[in-house]
Amino acid sequence: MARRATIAVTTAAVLLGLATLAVFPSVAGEADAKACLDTMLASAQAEGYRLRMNDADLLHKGEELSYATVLTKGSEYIVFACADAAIQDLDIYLYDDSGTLVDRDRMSDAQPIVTVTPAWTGTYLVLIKAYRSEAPGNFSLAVMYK
Amino acid sequence: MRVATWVLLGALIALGGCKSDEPTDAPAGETAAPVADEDKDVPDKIDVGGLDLKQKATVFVLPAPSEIVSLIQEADTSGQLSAAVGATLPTYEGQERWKAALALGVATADLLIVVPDASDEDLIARLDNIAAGMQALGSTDEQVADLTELRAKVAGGAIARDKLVGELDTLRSDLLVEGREQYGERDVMLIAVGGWARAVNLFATLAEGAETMPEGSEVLKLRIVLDTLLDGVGPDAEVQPVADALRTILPVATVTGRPDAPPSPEDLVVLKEATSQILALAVTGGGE
Repeated sequence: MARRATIAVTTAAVLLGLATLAVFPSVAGEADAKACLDTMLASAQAEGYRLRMNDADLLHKGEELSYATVLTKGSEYIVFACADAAIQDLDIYLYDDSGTLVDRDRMSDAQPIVTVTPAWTGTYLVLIKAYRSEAPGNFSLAVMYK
Repeated sequence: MRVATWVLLGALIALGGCKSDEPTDAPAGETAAPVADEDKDVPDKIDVGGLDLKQKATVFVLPAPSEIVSLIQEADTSGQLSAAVGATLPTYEGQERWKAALALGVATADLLIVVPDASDEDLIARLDNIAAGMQALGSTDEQVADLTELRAKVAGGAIARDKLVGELDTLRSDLLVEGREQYGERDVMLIAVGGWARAVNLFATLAEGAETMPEGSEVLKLRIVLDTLLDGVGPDAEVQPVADALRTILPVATVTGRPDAPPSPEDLVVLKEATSQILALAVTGGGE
């Protein structure tokens, strides 16, 4: 099986648009995490992405949550999140159904972004982790496609 | 490091200045710009069986109805989507709760599918219908306020279609995630089943006679999708017609899309028949 057949591809325009948000200071509270996500959603929608699902929850220090999601070959996906001020470094890791790391967010910020164009249709796992935080913090997460 | 990461880094440096993990002189209350962190302990391989998946987020597994339909659109075998969906709107009054949930899922998918080329009048009728469906499941006027607002924008010509698509995608997501507490797990999954059935049925109809299946069409018969829907529908006797229809697809289901395993013409017949049964339940409440 092709283990590394998934290629991260996205347009520079989306990266630039979302990166603009990534330099904003961390935001405070559940509502602000959602507002931050909504702004990122709007940026991605302007680039032709459509929302698959979004969610919001609480993460304790060092805690991670896992979402299973089916991604389709030939489509482009972007997974991103926003945390409130309690989480300084929020990460997203994407694994395929064999448990092999496909892509990960590499920034030490609270707005992780992962993009992927799956080379096969199947189940993928999105892990979101409060890599560095002072207290339990809120996050909002979205999976978009085009 | 991938090219995309370099692009992102470049953008960050350009926008926020060069930063490192070292303490900065940023004024109190400001946050230092993020920096790349290659030293984190991120395993290249994990035991997926050992993961504790977030249970309330099972709907994340499922592709969106518009996502399924977009596969066939990209293959250029689509006809008029609005015509294929039809103009019939479900009625919720007097329906059993599970049927109303199923019908709401179909109606929501229909709206998302037709929104690019439907008339304003059609969109308003569909928005009203979805509001009625949500209220049949227990939503208050306040909880359908977003729909009311969208309706007013459509009526007043105050929202572009691409913007409306984004708003409706969010509405659908909220319906499935936040509706879990409002409507209950089973009824949220019935909403998901309704939307999935509409999209798969449309795909199977439009793909009839096609010589090749579009890329990604394996998603129509992935086992995990069917298992998620079946688990969500649950064992209640009243919803067994839905579960029975879903089970008829299991013999043609595939565990993985690797290697490519697009549905065969025979698979499409099975998919179309099963989803037609589900759609009929949504409209007529079958079994009565």
